Amino acid sequence: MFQPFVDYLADKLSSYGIQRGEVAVADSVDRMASMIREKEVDLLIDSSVTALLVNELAGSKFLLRRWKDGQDAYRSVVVVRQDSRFNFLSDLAGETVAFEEDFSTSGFMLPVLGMASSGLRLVPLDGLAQAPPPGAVGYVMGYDSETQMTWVERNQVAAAGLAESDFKQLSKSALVPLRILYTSPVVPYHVVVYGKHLDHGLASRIRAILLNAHDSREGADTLDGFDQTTMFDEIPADLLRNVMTLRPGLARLWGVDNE
Amino acid sequence: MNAPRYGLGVKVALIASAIVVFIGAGLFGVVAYEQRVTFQEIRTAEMVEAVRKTAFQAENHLYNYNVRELRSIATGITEGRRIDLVWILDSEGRLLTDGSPRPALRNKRPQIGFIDRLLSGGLIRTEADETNLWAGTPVLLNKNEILGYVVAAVPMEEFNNNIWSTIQKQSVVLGLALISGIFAAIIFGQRIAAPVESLREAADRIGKGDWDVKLDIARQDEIGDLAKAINIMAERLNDGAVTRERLQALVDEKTAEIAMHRDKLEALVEERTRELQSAKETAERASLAKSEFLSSMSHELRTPLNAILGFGQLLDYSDQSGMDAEQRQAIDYINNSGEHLLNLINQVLDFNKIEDGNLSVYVESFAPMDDMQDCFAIASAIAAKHGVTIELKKDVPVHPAIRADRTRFKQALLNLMTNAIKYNRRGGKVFLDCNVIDDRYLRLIVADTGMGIAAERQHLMFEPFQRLGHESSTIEGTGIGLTITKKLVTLMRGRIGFESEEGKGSTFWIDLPLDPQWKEDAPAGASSAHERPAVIAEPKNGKRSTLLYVEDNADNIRLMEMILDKEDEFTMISAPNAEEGLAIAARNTPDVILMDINLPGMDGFQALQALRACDGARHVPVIAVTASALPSEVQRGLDAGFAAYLTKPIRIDVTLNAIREAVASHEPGLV
Repeated sequence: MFQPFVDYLADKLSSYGIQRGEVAVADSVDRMASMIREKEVDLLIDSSVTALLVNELAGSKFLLRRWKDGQDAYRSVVVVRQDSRFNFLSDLAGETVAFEEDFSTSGFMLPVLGMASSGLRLVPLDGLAQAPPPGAVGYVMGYDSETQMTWVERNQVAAAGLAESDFKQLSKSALVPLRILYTSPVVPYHVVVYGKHLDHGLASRIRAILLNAHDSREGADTLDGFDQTTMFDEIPADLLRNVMTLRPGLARLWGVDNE
Repeated sequence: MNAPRYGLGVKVALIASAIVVFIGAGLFGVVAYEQRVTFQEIRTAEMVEAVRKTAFQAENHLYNYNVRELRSIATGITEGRRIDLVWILDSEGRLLTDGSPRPALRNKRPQIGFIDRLLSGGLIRTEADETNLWAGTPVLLNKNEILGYVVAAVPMEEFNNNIWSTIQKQSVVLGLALISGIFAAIIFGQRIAAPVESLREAADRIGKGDWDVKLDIARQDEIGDLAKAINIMAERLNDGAVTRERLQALVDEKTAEIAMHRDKLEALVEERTRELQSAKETAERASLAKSEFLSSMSHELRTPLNAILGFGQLLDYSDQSGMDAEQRQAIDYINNSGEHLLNLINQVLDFNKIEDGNLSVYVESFAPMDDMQDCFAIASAIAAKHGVTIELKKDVPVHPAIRADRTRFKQALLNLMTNAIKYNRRGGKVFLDCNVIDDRYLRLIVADTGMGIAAERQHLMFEPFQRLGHESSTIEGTGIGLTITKKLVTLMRGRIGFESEEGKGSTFWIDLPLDPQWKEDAPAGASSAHERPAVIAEPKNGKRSTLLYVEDNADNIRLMEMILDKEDEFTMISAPNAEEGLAIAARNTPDVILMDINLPGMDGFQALQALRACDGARHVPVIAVTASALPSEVQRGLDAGFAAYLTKPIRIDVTLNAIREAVASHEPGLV
């Protein structure tokens, strides 16, 4: 799925002595950051929050925004039952909250950053049956926004953090009325970052290639084959700013030292 | 119009094909039905197994409402089991997942009757409706609390598609089977029809006589057996033909021999036939000559006998005072012998007729008493001469009429009476009697006290020329009287018989049939003119009548002249033939004419016709005189217009009576 895109890009960079491209997959943010630092990886394409974290760990920089399946940006929400007593995030202390999964920007990072910014302490739980520590918010992974919503609807958890788009869709079939307790900043959906070791001219060339890829038939087909990428464009400044506002919380939660 | 003819091969092929189609369609239907049932059962079992497994797997996740896991379970179930729909519902029947992300029915209870019935209680449930086959089960927590439900369904369309697919596959198989079956049937039919056709051709050849048939059909079945049988039959027929040819040759040879013998035999038969024909013709000519001779002799004898008896009677009627006893006896001898001779002649003629088969009778109805009286009177005269007493029983009732020939009746009765007299002894007796037998016959009985007939000769009684010991006696007789009598009685449909005891006498009887329709006052059977009682008419006072006698025999003319001379009331003129008689009659107009029938040239009948055409003599009565005494002749004469019919030899009293009666009836001035 990824190799044709890499080959396309490599082919376009042949004048720069690039003969081929390779795809590398890391099983953690730390591993990816390490590979970039070690110059084993030149370009990274991931969600904007994950990319921010990698940038924080490896010194890489934002290059472009990636439109995926027609979506260019998103945000997360924390929802509760309409009839619940929770009016602020801080009201969730001592409750169990459902997130989607660890690597999910919208289902985990953005809500957690929001809740953390509200001063809540989050503690992972083994399951729904486990009670959260006093004063902290216990959280479980639903691994599925539908499950998260079901838990909220059926009082299995006090709240759920998920992408706003998922909530809007699932709320149509909600068992009971729900309401939004918190909404995160809007961030780019996916971004492209490049290692700081990469030549500036090469980085510019890559930027130019990607920005124009969707204009050609070959490029459009290649992008579409790359996990339904619609196009690449410049990261809007406001969205970049929003992302950047997450740096403090991110550093606190993941223990990143600013360079 | 003939129905189309289909060969055996076609019929076998059609029948076999029909059987293939029939069996195929039957199997098709059964298999389709079985498959549908089986398929549904299998699918139901699969679904039951699926929902059970799903329920087992979903128990914990239902407890935690872990939709992601439940979705995964549902997806896993549908992917593995050809189940199109799996619903995992909460305890209220609301959909948690159907295996797809964010299902449309999420948190909603499907409005399906099956769901309602599933939620109403019970454990696992299966149902089929118009659209789906359903299976569902509750998911229990500790067998008490219902955590939710698992429902699975497959659309019925799947069954139909499956069955349709099966039908298509089976149709291909059936089509192939049908084609194969028809092909096999055609081959089979040809294998049967071809040798059968050969057998038929062989049978046709044999039927047309061509027996050199040799069928080459080496099959080990019924057709092969039939071919062998036909070959054997043809061989046998060939053998038989050879034998038949030999037999035919032998038959032809023998037939030729038989034909030769037959020709010889036919020639011999023809020769013998010719000889017999010649002999028969000779005998017939001889018989005819005899008859003609006898007839001629009778006539020839009657004519002189007429003169003899006539003159004898004349002498008998004449004054005999000048005669001595011998002369008077001589006159009696003349008359008796003449009468006997006449009787003999009559008997000979009758016997001849019997032999020729020409004796006939003229049957009529009449009351026989007068005739019996006549016979009695005649017999009395004869009996007196024989010294025999004859007696008529006085108690004879008034008998009804009989059907008989009057003349032959009297002839037969007189024959019996004269026999009774002749074969009697002097002083003997004869009785005449009669009775009615069985209301059918009149029996005439003639009994005598004569000699009787020996028993050993009685069987010869009615045989001709049998005189039973009297051949050399003085008793007159020819021996044919009883033969004639029996024949006459038989011809008159009567019976004759006798009883006799030698030395004591005999009793003869004749049975003649009665006429059941007779009436006493009926005029039939009245006495005819020629046999009227001898009542002599009175002579005409003071006037002589003229009588013309046409007769070719001079003796008879002389006799008649002498008879009439004695009466002194007639003037007789005569003519020797009819022509002269007619001329005299026309010229003299006599009062009466005696006309002999047997005349030379024109006979008496022709002369009568001529007279009736003659103006002058048209009304003159004519009396026939003839030697022929046949009743048919007498009747013919009366029918022709003769006033009377006299037979020769004439009796003087009868003749005079007839003449006078004729004259009296003829009054010239009045006609």
